[in-house]
Amino acid sequence: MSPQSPRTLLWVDDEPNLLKSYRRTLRTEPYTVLTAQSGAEALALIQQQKVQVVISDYRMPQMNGIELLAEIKRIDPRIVRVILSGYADEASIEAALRNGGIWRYLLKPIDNPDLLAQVREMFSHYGNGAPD
Amino acid sequence: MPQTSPELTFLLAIADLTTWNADTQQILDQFGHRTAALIGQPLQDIMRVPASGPPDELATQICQSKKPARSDAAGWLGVPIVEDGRVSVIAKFQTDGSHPLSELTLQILMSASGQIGAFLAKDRAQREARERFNELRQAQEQLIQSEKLASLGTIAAGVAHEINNPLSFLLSNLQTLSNYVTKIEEVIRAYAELERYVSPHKDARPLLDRIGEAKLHADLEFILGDHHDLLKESLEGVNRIREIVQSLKTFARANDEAPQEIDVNECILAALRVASNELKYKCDVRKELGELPKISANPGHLLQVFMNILINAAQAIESRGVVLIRTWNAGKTIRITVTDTGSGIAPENISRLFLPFFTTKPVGKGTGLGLSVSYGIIKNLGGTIEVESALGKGSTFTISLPLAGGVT
Repeated sequence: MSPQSPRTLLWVDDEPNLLKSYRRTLRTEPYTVLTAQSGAEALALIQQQKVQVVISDYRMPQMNGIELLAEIKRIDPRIVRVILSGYADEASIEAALRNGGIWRYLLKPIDNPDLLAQVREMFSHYGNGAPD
Repeated sequence: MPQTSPELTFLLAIADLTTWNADTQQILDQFGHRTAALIGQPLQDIMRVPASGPPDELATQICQSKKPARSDAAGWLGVPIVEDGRVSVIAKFQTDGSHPLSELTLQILMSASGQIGAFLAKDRAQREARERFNELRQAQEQLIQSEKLASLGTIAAGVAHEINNPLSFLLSNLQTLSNYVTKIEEVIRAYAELERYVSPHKDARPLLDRIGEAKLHADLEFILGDHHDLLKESLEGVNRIREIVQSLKTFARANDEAPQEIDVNECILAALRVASNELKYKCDVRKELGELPKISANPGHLLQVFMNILINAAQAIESRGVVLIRTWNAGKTIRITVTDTGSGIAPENISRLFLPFFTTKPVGKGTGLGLSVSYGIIKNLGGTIEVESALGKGSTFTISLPLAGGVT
């Protein structure tokens, strides 16, 4: 993707302090960061704005991260979908990785430099033939 | 005293029974005529010892007599015990094999005056029942202990999940803060340059004085020197919590993952590669890996168990030592032993070894979770993990893992 194209990341986590900390980490990076505290909120945002990358927690009330990302895949399969979680049902993660429901699974907590490198990779993966 | 049988009356005739119990009565009743021959005979004939004398002397004579006088007496069980001025010894008598109670054991108490204090009869069936009872009780205690460990593990894993989110933003924010402070420091240093530049200006004087005062009050030089350490240490703390949380989560994960067919020897070799940093400088690692059938397990978990034990072995060795790893097929199970020539484990620590958070390592060196996590993993596989240790000589960890079909 060209450097001029807008790069928008949607971060979903039910812990607001975490969303704030991620915002701080990405503050000086050339991305627009959107945040949502639930799957429903995330889906509403996806309808309104163009997003290239979604990073979601796994354990959230109502809709878990895998369910959310499956729904997002249905809406726009080009969006790079990543789970960042401290705990997830390993079987469903494995299945999602295998059937292309998610592109990557990252473990919480993650160091800032590692996170920045990962996000960079996510954006470069977008358009490089999105998953499936 | 219970009702006496005719035989018992005989017995009473030669002995002054001061204690009695229902068991004894029952056993003698069951034995009935078979013990009749014994009962009523002079004590000297049965015991081959004088019927009276000082307790110590009686004890010595019993010891010397090797076995009771009667031909159907199989022998003494154990040595006589002198206690409270009385001698107690257990004699074993054979009966004819037709009776379910093929063996009669009498505990004979003698007072110094040669008076028999009590005949306590026990038969083999009763003894076996007692042994089985003891085995069961032991098994039950083990079960309670392992259940305790398991529930502690579940609680710990739940706590770990709750800690993980705050830990994540703590880590991220501390790293960001470290970044901020470095930048603020740059700005402060630049301002210091400006101070020097404007100092000849007399209008700047009051302002510079205020700045000087504020710097002094804040101990600015100290803060600028210390903040790197402060943040570095805080991040170190967060990383330590992170490791603990990571280990604790294994408790919960132990059941989640699908097992695979794995070769335990390969898993051990992988663990040796991962732990090589700990081992290579001071341990002579010897391997006697036997041919093993594959077992169904999670390779990551088993790797963790072997790593924990190998790293412990390495850490138990101060300067130079040997770590011997043996594996063999024991029929229904696979056995793995890891023996080190390290410092050994103090006896009082053995029982606490598998408890979460128990560690003898210095602060920051061990979480006290390695072995408790390993215990949980092995237990989930239907196996056992045991330890033998001698202080100053070393320890041996023995793992038994059931072969396929062994786990229910």
